[in-house]
Amino acid sequence: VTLRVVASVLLASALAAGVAAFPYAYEPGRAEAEGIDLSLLEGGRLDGTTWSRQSPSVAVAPGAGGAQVRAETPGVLLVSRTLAIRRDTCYALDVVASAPRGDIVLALADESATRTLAAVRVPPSAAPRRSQATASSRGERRFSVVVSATGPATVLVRSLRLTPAPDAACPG
Amino acid sequence: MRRRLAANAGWIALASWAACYLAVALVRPGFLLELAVAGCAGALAWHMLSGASLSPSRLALAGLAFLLPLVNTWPVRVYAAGLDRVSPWAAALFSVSSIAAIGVLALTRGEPGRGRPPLLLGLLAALALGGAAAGAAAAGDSSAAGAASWSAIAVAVLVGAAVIRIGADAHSARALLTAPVLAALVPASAGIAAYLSSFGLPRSVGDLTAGKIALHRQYLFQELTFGNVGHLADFALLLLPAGVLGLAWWRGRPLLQLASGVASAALAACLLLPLVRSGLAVGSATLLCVAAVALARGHRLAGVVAAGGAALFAAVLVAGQVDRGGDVPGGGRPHPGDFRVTVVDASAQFRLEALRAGLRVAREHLPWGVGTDQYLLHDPVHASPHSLAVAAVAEQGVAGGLALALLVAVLAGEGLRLARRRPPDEIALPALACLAGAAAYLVNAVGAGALLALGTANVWAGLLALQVALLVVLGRRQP
Repeated sequence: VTLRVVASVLLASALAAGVAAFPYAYEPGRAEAEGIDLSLLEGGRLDGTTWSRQSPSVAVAPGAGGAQVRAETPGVLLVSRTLAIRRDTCYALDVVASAPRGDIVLALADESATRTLAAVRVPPSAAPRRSQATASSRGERRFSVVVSATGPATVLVRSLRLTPAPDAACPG
Repeated sequence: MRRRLAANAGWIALASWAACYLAVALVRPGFLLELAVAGCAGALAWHMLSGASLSPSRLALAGLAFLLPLVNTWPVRVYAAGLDRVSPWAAALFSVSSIAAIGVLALTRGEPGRGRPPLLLGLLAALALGGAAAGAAAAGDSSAAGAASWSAIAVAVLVGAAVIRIGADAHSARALLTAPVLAALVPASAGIAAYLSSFGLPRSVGDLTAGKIALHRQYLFQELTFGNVGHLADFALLLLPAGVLGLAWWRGRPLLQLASGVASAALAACLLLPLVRSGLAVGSATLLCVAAVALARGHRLAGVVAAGGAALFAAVLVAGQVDRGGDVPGGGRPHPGDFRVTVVDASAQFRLEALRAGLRVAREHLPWGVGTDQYLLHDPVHASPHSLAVAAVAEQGVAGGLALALLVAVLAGEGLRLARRRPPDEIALPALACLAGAAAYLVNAVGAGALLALGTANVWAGLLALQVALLVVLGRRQP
């Protein structure tokens, strides 16, 4: 009887604490604590566990040293999985990309990918360029990355990475 | 010493769990809910088994059955990822389910006069293992295919062999089926908590539809369960009949009856919240059959709950049809801040194309197949043929296809045997739970696609083997 009483009290308390601490499940573990590499490709095709294709006209294939994204119609092309972030932390979306054709926008958005927090425009250029967008995770549970085009476009993404940044890098 | 340990086993188990809980509280507090529910499920399983006076080998088998739904929970995932960095074979051989299955079989050594597999089941195991071995030998990466075969097929054969060898009476059959149902509370509650915290409590079918569309992307819901809403649905289909029938076979044990009811509701939520259409259709038909048998045998509570579940699934399925026909967002210039996330793949058409591609891959690699878990390399566009039948032939060749056909034949034969013999409830209800769970999984797997294992997380293969072997054992028991 004693064991049963102790176990019941302990388990009930543990359950309540588990529910209270559940929001921490949204935070990154050790594997993602120092940042997340958002590779577009897995085995030579779009990495379907990380990216969701938003237009049938989008083609993603291996390109020179990266992933080539081609789109014939404007709009949202790709949306990432939800990305684990720490609370009240400044994050930077680092992009190394070139856009030989058209304009491509890479945006850091909220969990549901409906609200832009910061965006990087990859202007037309043949050479890869590094650009960065920063946003604070204050009030956000997770981030998403959204790739969109303003018209027919081709972009070669060499690397795409979300990393914690110094607080000073985030406006406000 | 041994007697003192046995007398204090409950305290030792509770202290071990509390130590794990404190460690997780320091490292990953977000996973405390999983561990707390695992503790509750473990305590219920303890309560169930402590009054059952089962032999050590049957207790160990119930422990293995309890473990199967937990093979993709957080601490096991961390352990598997660590092994995976060593080699695929290390990850497969030393996976939790592999060690547990080998351990349980080893316990039965020296126990004379235990069960031998019926001829058809032996042939089924030989075909499955032979197909996996031949496919691995023919695969480009034989080591990876061999390791995947160990997790998806060999461990399942070990689980089935343990059930056949140890055997089961009516009470141990109920315990063997209830143990994974209780453990299923862990992934199910984690998934439900993630869904509710991401999307809130759905108040209409429209809310469910919006959630389904959002879950086309990876959310915490998929991360905490089995990586894909379809995999969670297959898991729920396997265990839902046992959960509902637990309401009947635990009559007189109110705590276990309540636990079966709660677990059934949680498993039903795993089908309803992500609105998995094929799962809801198969689940509805399965629960209808369960309801008919339960009511015919006078188990009103289980019958009414099963009938209610079948009606709910059917109603949500009809009301929640989602048009995934290709509404492409962004007709004009995209406006940052006004993204509209949608699902653009026409699901039925995509599945049909995947099936055609699967048949082509299977045809091109006859008779050996491409090897377990190697399909993706041969059809990177669709990644899966969306049918377990095509996947079996494509990956394990002719032998794999024959093994699946034989599995269906074994289930059909055992179903007929049950109907003809009309055994008493203590045999009929667990047998029905096995038959309904395995059949629901297979119908959904062949019609819409399903995995046997996700890496070393072989929850589906393990539970399927447990249910099929238990069904065969129960079918041969004298009333």
